[in-house]
Amino acid sequence: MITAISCSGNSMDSQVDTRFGRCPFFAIFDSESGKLRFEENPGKEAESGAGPAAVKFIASQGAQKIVSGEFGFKVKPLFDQLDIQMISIEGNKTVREIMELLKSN
Amino acid sequence: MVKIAIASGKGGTGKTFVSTNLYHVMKMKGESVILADCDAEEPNDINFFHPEIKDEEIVKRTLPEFDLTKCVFCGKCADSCAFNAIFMIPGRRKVKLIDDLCHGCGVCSYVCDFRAVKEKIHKTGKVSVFYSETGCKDGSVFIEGRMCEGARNPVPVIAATVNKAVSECTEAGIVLLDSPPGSSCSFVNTVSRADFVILVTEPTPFGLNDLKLASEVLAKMKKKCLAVINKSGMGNGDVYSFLLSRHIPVLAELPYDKNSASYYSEGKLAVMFDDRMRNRFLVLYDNLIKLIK
Repeated sequence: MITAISCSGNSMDSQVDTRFGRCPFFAIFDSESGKLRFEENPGKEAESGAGPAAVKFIASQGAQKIVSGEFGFKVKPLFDQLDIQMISIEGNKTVREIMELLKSN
Repeated sequence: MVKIAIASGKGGTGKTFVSTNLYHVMKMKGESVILADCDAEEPNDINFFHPEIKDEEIVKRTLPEFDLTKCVFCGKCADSCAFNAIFMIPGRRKVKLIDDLCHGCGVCSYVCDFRAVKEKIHKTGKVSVFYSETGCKDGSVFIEGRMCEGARNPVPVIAATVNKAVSECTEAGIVLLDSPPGSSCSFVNTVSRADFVILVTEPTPFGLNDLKLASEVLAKMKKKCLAVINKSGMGNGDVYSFLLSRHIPVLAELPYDKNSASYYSEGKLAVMFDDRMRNRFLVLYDNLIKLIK
């Protein structure tokens, strides 16, 4: 299962960025192989439509889950259609903490 | 022709109050004047007039439609879209238009090599032209832009409203453009064709904050700004010092007055019932004419 996490930097100790479409990085975590990589969000500075562009990027990475703070109204139906599960989290958490939570599930 | 926009950063400062009353005073003074309500999301100038004859013009926008029997999911349309309005995932044979983001530019159908993108016309609003009871005789006209329910982008309707107002105006006439609130697209599209912009503000911290935003945008657009201070007598003097520092002349101060507010709430023009308010508007008119002619 591949999970994408919107995050503010490209290390395990980076915080989860709660702005889904305009976060600087996505952590792509494969729970089966345990591999983690970071990808720059290609649409973070898009003039408009950063959210849908990010959905497209997440889907292209083969993710089935996305962890972020808030998902806008344009983004939700797109994730639903693609059967990608949205997980909203509150408060400050690091990529490492999210990975541990995913592993324990 | 002189085009004057009545705007403000903040909502509720009195744009419509100033526009409708100034329109009436200008008619009294024998000006050939057109009032255009450009607040297409929420037009309400009409509540102050009793229009008779009406012409309507439909405002259309084009949106792409995808023919899935022809589409090969090459992604060319999505890549060409400057607004990320086309959501396409080739691997899953998915293509979807995100209406809100589409500007109707047509580039997607232009770049498609398979004729899979067709542009369909949709109604997005209307521009109405009213010749009021007295309007027919004195040459004054009232125009209103109104969006369709559910439409999201007022800009095409605003542009059509301003065009209509300009096309109806005589050589020596005056066009008053009642602008939507704020300082974003709707506002910019209303003021962009104006020769002068009257900023209606109130002497409160909220009024000042939004006045600053609007005047910054207008400075970038190199527009000549004038100000009307509505609800004077409340708040503090910061708005006055700001206007002074930016060399924005104050055309008039309109004191806060409960009676004027009541007239307004009943759809009546204060200048028709209240001598004091009429005098203030005559001062506004005189100062304005001196500056624009």
